[in-house]
Amino acid sequence: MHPDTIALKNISAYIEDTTILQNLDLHLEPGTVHLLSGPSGCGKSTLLQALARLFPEDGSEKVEGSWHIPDHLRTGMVFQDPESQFCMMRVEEEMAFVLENLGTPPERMEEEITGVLAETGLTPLRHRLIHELSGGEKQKTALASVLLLKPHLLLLDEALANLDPAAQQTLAALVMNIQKKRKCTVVIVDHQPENWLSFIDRVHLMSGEGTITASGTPEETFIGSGAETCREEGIYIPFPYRKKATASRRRRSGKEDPVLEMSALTPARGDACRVQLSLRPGEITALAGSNGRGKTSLLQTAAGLQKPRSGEVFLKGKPLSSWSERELRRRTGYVFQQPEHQFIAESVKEELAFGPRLSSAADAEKKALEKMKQFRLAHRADVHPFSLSGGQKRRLSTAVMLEADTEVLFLDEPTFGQDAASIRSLTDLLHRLRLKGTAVLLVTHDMNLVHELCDRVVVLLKEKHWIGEPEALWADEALMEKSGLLLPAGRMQKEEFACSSS
Amino acid sequence: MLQQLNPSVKAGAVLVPSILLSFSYDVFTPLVFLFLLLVFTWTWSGMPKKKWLMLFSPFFIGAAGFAWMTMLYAGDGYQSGEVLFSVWHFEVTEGGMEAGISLGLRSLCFIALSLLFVLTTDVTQMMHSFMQQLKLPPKLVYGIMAGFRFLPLFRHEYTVIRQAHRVRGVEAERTVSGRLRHFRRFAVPMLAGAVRRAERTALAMTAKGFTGDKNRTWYKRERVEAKDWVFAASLNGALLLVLAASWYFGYLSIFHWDAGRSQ
Repeated sequence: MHPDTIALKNISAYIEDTTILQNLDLHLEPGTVHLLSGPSGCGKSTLLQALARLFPEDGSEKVEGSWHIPDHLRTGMVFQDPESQFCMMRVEEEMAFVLENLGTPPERMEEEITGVLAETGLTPLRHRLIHELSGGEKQKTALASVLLLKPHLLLLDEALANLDPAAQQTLAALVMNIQKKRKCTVVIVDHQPENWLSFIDRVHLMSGEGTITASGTPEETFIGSGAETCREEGIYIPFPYRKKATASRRRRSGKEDPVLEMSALTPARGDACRVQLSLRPGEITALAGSNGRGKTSLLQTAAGLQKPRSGEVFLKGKPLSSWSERELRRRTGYVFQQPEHQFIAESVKEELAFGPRLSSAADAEKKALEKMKQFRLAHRADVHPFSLSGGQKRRLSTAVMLEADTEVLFLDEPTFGQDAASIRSLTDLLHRLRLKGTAVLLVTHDMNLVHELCDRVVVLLKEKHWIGEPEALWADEALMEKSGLLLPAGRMQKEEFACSSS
Repeated sequence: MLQQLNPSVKAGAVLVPSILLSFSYDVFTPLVFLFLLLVFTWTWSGMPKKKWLMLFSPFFIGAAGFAWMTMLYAGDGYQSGEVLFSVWHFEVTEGGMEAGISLGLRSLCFIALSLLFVLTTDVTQMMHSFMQQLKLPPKLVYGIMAGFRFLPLFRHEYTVIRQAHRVRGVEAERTVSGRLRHFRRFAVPMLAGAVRRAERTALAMTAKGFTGDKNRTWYKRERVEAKDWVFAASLNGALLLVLAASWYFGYLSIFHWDAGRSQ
């Protein structure tokens, strides 16, 4: 066995009697690239932390099995959230922080910092404040600081999840180049791993119980032996290995009066300018564009949460300002990106009864029970909303925003950080809303969602916007390029995957 | 330039006069020292006068308010001398007036001293100096640094949660118990968010090899040099000179013990 090989055999890990990993086998040859796929909460992150020797050691943990990670092996880890990976103010200081931790002699630091910044393309940003950087630049900074550890093993825990598609591609390409030069072992956890595919040697599928159930090349696992597991566990199958998704847009007549209209709407923040858009009942419209264009700002203005700089929004022909707050909130729903922000009660049941109670419905309790069944939360009725799993929180935050008479639903990044099962339950819900005649406006980077579900896309550009059907957007290469969007997997040819990453 | 001074020495140099000044209850001492401070700030901080005045002016109004309140409400110990004028049924005596103006001037001195430090000091440099010169433990200092980065995030999160609750139909509460409930609804998600963020940051710092060990190497050494002591000595020397002059001319009053020579 090569001295740098990592071998885990029959590992089980428990924290406070909860099983995190179970009979897990993992073999990592030096210089290879691995993808860990599994449903939310299956222990992928814990496994990465264990590989980085960050497993909590406070006495509540217990690990069994044969655990072979050579002592000389250095690990580096990039995490998901760009906001909470730094403790210094400037890029250069963060680099110095790592070198100081390692006890690097001061006279060597300058050379190392210059080197790693050049390697990651951050040289021009050396003296910039980290909190002023874009998400992609922050993640690059995190990567650079980790590279200073000279890792044999590079771990990426959803490192792309908070970035827009163009930034995702850039960062993935950067990691690939670095891996080729440094020949380090890489382990990637990513809910939607399309960006990495051409680069991955082996895929390991994890089941909800924390066991690796299938390992092999991407083809073997996603098409062959693992395909069954993927379906059962709700693991996202990346496009080239999936049957082409058929766009299931079934337009309604389109003759009905629009329920929401924006007239020359300019939100107070962002680049969106004089947006003219009307939503008809049962229509699903997406807002897209790179980060910082003001998608969320436009969504909030349309929902009456922000005052517009100019222009007006009409709900059922009446300006928003003439609706009473209560009536407006009853007819519209707004699902925030972070589900937790919307929770106000102490249990799931109370949370769902809160809305009906406001409109003094005597049967609030009954309505809550119905909703719990509909959103598969019945078994969690008395649990505090904050203790739900990620997918359950997402379902609850959507459930509380849907009243019987909701006519427009606004969603901010609904597929963000969700596993395949949650995404499927979201698309099912949107289908039902379409049939019921609820208009939906959603902000998303997920072009697969747009392709499969949306009737129209609004692309926000600097000072301009484009409105049209998804097919027209996919066909317009210049526009795609300009707006930093990527073709949805369903529209990409297999070869394009290979080219875009080589 | 003050920016290049060692932050630990600078902090000490500014702290000593703040403490000494709080004992001098006369008008002369803080007035003259304030004048010297302005000269100091404007010649050495490299800060545009206009910007400095913009920052200073709100405090000026606050200090004036302080002075006014003290004049009216000064304790019996200060009520001496003739009654100068009366407002409603408060009488302002010479003693009260002096106490008020002195307090106002002292507040301005503290503010000028604080601005002198805050506006010329880089946070990172200060924290590094606290570890290198004052030997504060790295665990504490880097913890504070990491927390410092969270402040703008908190504000953002508060706005988002307020909107999210508004969407749910939570209306502004007017009763005390309603406000309390309201506060709890905010506190839970904010605290949960903060705890999680802190955990993530701690994990990321550990992953970057941070152990809290005091034996670190330093990319940039914060040094204490002659110019630092020159600054400390001149600022505190100036105060001593003012105190001496104040004593010589018979103005100096420590608490209300008149320490002036002529007394």
